[in-house]
Amino acid sequence: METRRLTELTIGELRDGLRSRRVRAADLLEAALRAIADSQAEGPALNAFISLAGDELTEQVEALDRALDGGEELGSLAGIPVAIKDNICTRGLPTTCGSKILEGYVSLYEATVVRKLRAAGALILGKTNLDEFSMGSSTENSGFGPTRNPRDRERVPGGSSGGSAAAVAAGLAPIALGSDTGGSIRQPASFCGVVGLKPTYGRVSRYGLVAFASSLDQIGPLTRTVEDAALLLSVIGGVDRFDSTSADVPVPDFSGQLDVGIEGVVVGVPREYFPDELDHGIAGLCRAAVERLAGLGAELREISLPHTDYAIPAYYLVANAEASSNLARYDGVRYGLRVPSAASTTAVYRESRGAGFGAEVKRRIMLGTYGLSAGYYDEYYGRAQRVRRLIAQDFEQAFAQGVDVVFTPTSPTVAFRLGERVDDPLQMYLSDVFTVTANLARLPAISIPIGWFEGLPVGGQLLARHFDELTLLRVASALERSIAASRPDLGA
Amino acid sequence: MTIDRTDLERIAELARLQLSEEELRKFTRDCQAILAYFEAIRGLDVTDAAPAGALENPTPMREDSVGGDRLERAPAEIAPAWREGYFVLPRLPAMDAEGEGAEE
Amino acid sequence: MSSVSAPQGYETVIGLEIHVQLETRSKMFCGCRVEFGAPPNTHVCPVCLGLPGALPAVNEEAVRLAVLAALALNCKVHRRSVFARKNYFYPDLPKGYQISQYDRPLATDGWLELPAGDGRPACRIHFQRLHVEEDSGKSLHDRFPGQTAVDLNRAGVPLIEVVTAPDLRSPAEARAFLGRLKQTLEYLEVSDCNMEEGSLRVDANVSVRPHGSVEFPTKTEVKNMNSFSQLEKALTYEAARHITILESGGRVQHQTMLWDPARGEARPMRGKEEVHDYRYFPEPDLPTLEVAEGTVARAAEQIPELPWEKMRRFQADYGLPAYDAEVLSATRPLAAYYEAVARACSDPKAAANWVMVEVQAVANERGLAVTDLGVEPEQLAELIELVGAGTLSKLLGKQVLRRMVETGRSSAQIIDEEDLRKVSDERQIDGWVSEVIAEHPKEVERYRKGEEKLLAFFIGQAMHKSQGKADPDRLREALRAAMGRLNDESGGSA
Repeated sequence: METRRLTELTIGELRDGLRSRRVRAADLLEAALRAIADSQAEGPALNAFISLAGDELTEQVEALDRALDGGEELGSLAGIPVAIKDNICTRGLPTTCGSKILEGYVSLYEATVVRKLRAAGALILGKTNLDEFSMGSSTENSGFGPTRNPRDRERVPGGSSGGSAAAVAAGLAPIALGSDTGGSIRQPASFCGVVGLKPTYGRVSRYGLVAFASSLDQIGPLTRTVEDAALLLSVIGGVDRFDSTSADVPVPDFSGQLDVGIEGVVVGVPREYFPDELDHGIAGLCRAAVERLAGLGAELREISLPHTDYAIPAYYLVANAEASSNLARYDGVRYGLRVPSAASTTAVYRESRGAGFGAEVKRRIMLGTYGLSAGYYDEYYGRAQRVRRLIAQDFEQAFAQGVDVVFTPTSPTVAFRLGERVDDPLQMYLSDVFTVTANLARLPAISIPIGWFEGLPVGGQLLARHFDELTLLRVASALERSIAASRPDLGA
Repeated sequence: MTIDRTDLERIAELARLQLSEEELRKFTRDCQAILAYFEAIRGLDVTDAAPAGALENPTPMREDSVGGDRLERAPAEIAPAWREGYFVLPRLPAMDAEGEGAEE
Repeated sequence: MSSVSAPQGYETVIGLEIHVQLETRSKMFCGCRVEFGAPPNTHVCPVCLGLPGALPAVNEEAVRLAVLAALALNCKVHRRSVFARKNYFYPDLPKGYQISQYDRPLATDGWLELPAGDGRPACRIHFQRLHVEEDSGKSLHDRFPGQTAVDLNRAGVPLIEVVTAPDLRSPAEARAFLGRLKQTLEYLEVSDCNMEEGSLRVDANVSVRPHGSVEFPTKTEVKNMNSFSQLEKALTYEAARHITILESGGRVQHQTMLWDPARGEARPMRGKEEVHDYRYFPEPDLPTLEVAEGTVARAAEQIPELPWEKMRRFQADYGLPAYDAEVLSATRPLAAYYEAVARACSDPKAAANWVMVEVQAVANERGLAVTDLGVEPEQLAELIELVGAGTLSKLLGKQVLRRMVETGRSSAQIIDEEDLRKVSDERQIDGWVSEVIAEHPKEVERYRKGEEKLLAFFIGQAMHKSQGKADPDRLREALRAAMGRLNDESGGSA
């Protein structure tokens, strides 16, 4: 513990430290701010944050320390700094979505998850970098410069929640929130060597999450441990009257129920996720992880999810179509960028959107608009929604046959180099091949570190039944502890 | 099905996106490649699969009462242009013929 | 131009698309107040401003009102329907899409009977669909020179859109039908249907075809008709334009026409706004709209007696002629008012006359509705009883009615305080008669020479002296008697 910075501790450790007064909230905040400053100063800047809270936190922290000194019982996240992906609306700090079209935009309301974090006593530390409107898998598509991978700064942190993953991995914040539309939490978690959880669609309110693809988006935690992810999920989860797609399903205390063992849990291993061309290093680590699960008492079962090959086209057709509609509101009329020289209504739209959106966003708006337009709807968007049904049915069948969780690699590769794929959008899309299915089928999924390959972290993905995050987290936690016990170096 | 530059121009107009000559060229190539990859799903028999569109559970309904979420600050603070309580923008071109000409 | 729809052997085919604002307290998808005429952009929130990250939540009452309307219009209400996004750019459309319904609307396949009129038998006009959606805001193009001003208070107000089949065959018929529909919706109290404030808006599809043809030729859409008469004028104009084109061998172009009431002409809408590709798709932010069986059953029970049912009952129960029954059932408040008066007095026909004629006249003078005059039905009934029983003359009755409106007091109070009771006392009446005779010797002379129509003049003069209180029958008798005595006297002295 002595060798770790305060911001590298788990929530449990921090909570104990704060309660026993060995740790002061002010020191914790200062440690975070110092770590962030250092991450900018050394080497090429990490660039994990787009904006940072400053003095306004001082008062909050002082009040917290006073309360803690007085022995008051505070919320479960009292004094814990949280980094928030910059597509989640916060008061005080701008919400840019990594886009020039929202540069300097400060929301007039706050997202439900942020209200819940504040109610639990958390400090909103800052807003993290992302691919513009979450469209990307490398955090290179940000209007405010790319984020780098703290494990190797010549490489990408993954995306789109690359800033949040990098912040947690680099020890700039103990925990972070991201959003996941097709892997945007899990793939950067895998690339940066942290835990990333995409909850069941509807588990966490999307109110205040700037929409990319509404039927796929879900907010979730990026943390250093499964237990922290579980704890954070209990804080942010639950039905919300402001989000009609949020589900009225009880939110248990996940983190308190992880230690029950996984004896008899059935782990499905889908052969479609282990193609021959899968990198042998990643395949080997996955095999090892699966064997660990068997060693812990889980029953392994090879399964087939036959429509997996169609997932990428179905995902991109659905996501882009919804995005093209969701991004229509950035028209320069009520907020955001307006090109001053635009001389007519149409010019305000065309020029503001042309100047404000980056290339990837424009490309996806074009593809999405095309897929919905007269004469193409049935062949593209309509068909993709039917394929989506088939993909969901693949999982339903596996679960119906007794499979409790599915294990897959999170990403077909480790973190790639900056610039390696920016000019090849299709290649970039294919990095989401293992993660998009959870979003299409609205299932909960988690990525946890399972080892290192060529000096870079590798993540393994687990998926479970709708709203069965408890089983998902139990298996993930068991695997995590087993790996940590045998390979203490992985905790780094 | 393939997409050409004319399609791109039509779509850009529908989406109110001003694209540079270079963007149009590059997007045409990119979209052709991406759509070619997407062709895969057209070979799949989907006749028995109902579209997975809106969630099928019934939407919750709210009571008809005034309240709900409030703005923390006035919309004027985020408006690119604001005049006497209104968002303002240069007039629609169709209206300009009868209008008094654009200001500024 | 006449309203005859089919000159030169053509038939006009019209379908209407009607948007109706539902009378709810809050908006369709957020808790903002619905209020006409509030200062701009004061009833707005993250949802109806279309702020990034905001999400819709369905107003239950809006759905209830839509179901009520659908049932009254004999539509099939679907247990499950789907919200859809209609994508287009317009300054007053904050999200760049309108949340509406598309391929799975709330209700389909209805009809409303259009009563016989203009020599045409009664017929059913069919509805293709009825769906719920949100209203847009308002773009003001004349508020500031060279600028469009956007007010989003109206953005998100709940609407139903009702689409008829092309069943209407003339502009007059379209007008009559819209009146019937408006009346029905007003009865249901789902909307105030105020066309001036835009809570009822109508667009029309028009085409013409040779008589006897069953084809549907190219139609045009006409927008911006903000009153019943403008609807009829615009449709007449547009049908005539089609005929002119067809007669000259041309082809009608499918386009949207904007009616200009000031110039009395329709012009094609210009520019790229014309090219529509709305890219509808299911709204991912809202799960399926489910209307429970119980909701439909309760709505069915809540459907009030509708105007045509009320009219029949007024004829049957109160013995009213068809015309009176129709007038009195025109609006639900008027019908309720009449019925309260009729029940409180012994003569429902007299009650009908009073409400339709006397009370209506006073209301018209004041630009008010009968029900807004402040005269309680029981008070009016009392007054009608007093006149009926002969305690008050009809003339005095009218006067008392005015005083009731002015003072808000009851007829009995007014009669007492203002001493308005009808005077039948012989001596008092004889006194007024003597004075009148004394003051008008010339007229008396002419009367005596045979100008008997002057009797009315004397009655008027005497009534004036009595301040209207003299019993007119007694007065007439007294005058005749007095004139007779004069004749006798003069005869006697000659």
